[in-house]
Amino acid sequence: MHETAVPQVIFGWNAAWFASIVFAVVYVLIIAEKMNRAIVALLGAGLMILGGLITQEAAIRGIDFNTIGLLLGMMVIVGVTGKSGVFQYLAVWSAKKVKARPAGVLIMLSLVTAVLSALLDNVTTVLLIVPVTLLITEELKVKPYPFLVSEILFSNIGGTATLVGDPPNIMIGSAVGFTFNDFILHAAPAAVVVMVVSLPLVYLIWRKELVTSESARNRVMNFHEREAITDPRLLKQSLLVLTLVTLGFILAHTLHLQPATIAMFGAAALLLLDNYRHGSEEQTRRVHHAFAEAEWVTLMFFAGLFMLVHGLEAAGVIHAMAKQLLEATGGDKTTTVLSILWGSAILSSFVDNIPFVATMIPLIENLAPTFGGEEGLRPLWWALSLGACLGGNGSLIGASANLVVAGLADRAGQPVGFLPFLKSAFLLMILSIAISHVYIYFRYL
Amino acid sequence: MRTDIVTLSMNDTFGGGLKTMAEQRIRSLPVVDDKGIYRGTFDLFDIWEILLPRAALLEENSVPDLSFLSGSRELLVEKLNEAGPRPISEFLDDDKTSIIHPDAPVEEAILLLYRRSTPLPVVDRKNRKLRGVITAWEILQLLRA
Repeated sequence: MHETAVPQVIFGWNAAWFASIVFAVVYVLIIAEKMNRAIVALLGAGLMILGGLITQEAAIRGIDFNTIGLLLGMMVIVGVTGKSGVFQYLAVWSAKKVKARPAGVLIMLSLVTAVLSALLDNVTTVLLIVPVTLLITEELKVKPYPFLVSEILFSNIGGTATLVGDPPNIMIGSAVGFTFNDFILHAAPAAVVVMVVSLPLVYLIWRKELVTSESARNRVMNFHEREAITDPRLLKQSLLVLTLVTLGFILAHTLHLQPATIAMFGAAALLLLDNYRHGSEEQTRRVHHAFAEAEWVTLMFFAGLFMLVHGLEAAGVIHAMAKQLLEATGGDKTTTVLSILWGSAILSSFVDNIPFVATMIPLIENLAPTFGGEEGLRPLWWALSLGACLGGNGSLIGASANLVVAGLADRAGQPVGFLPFLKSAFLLMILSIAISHVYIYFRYL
Repeated sequence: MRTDIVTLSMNDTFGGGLKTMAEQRIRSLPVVDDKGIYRGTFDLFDIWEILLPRAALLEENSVPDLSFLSGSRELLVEKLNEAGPRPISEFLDDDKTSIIHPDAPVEEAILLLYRRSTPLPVVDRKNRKLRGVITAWEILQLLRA
């Protein structure tokens, strides 16, 4: 992978040492969360270039624009769709479908979160579903805690099922060329089993808190969910674009299209539909607002990390790490696959899974010669995907969606504490990885 | 500046403040301790906050409108009753209500009224004692004279 001549000595250090130290410091700073992660990743990337490990051109080639374009496109589409009120509608509608019984509402909102998270980005999904959950639980006079925790769990489980559901899948799909359908065929079955097993457990854990009065239930049953749709025209346009984009993902392979093209084209089409009736000044204001709502910190974090990992690769560090992993597992495929699954899950519980997956991708690519080329690597990719996505449920800092829910809950005066969450969520996460272990073992090994 | 003002004491409760506000038809009540020192303002916004669902108060991620709710008087009355015994001091820690000093220019008073239209407590710069309040009507009267 040495595409440019790498200087052997930088500031008196050997190139591999220099790259490793920069990488380790960046990792520690990301985990410490004292400084914004985008700043840290971009500084690290800058040091790789300034240190002469990679040129600017090489750094930019290292950025996976397919991942960034897909994320940005989906963020814009969901942001615009959210304005129509469809997510409030969906939440209220689902609560009424179960006669506003708290246990039913818990299960329905968890399922809605899982399905939305599979099709949309997790963070956006919880940002849209948590406020209306707080509203419904307040009207029902039940504690929102079980509902919020369950939504965290199911947003990560739902996200595991598809290419677009969770950033690790977007990154893996993009790097390896797995299609939307590949994820439906390989990741989704495991996610569905985890969901089916977790739902009754979530109910059992919190069943004592799921009690309300007849009059509180009547209040929710008297909600007029149709009134939640604030812009019916935008709703139709958004649903049309979302359907076409999902169809696009399914047919991407046949159409020879990359997911970023589909998502960005969908975003542009939705912006056109939502804006063409307005004057140019109003259009500028609205489009500016739509783009500003995308999570630029996350996108810049991705860009920085890709460049950083590219520098690490150029210095030969990734290759050395791959060799170490093989030595540790004795080159045995089953051991390697299962170590990746459990290792990713435990690490992703406490460390942001995005930098972890960004590092693991080139590392696994390095293992191709040992395990019989690209085809032989497939079980390793699915182990990484399931481990990193489901591992996000291990603790409150395991995934961005978890922190977003905790932040909203805090502001609403209903804090979700680190330890209480850990107590129930870590065990459920271990169970989900045990299910994935059995799934991978019998299907691929 | 008006000096004949109704105030609340630190021993008052939410329910007491609400009663005074409703009976006297005043939007905001300065709260002073037994030494006459200004401690904060209890106003209508505090009451709206108790009544509104928390999901509507989340700033940028709030539920954007409440038109789909069932409109339950019963729940709202319950919320007021529950908040009734809470000490007034719990509602004073916000920095939403501005104060003004006796020597401030009239423009400053207009700017503060423009930002949040409630009467402005006039507080002594040195000893923090409440001197009175300035309402929009006094400013208009001053300018029309």
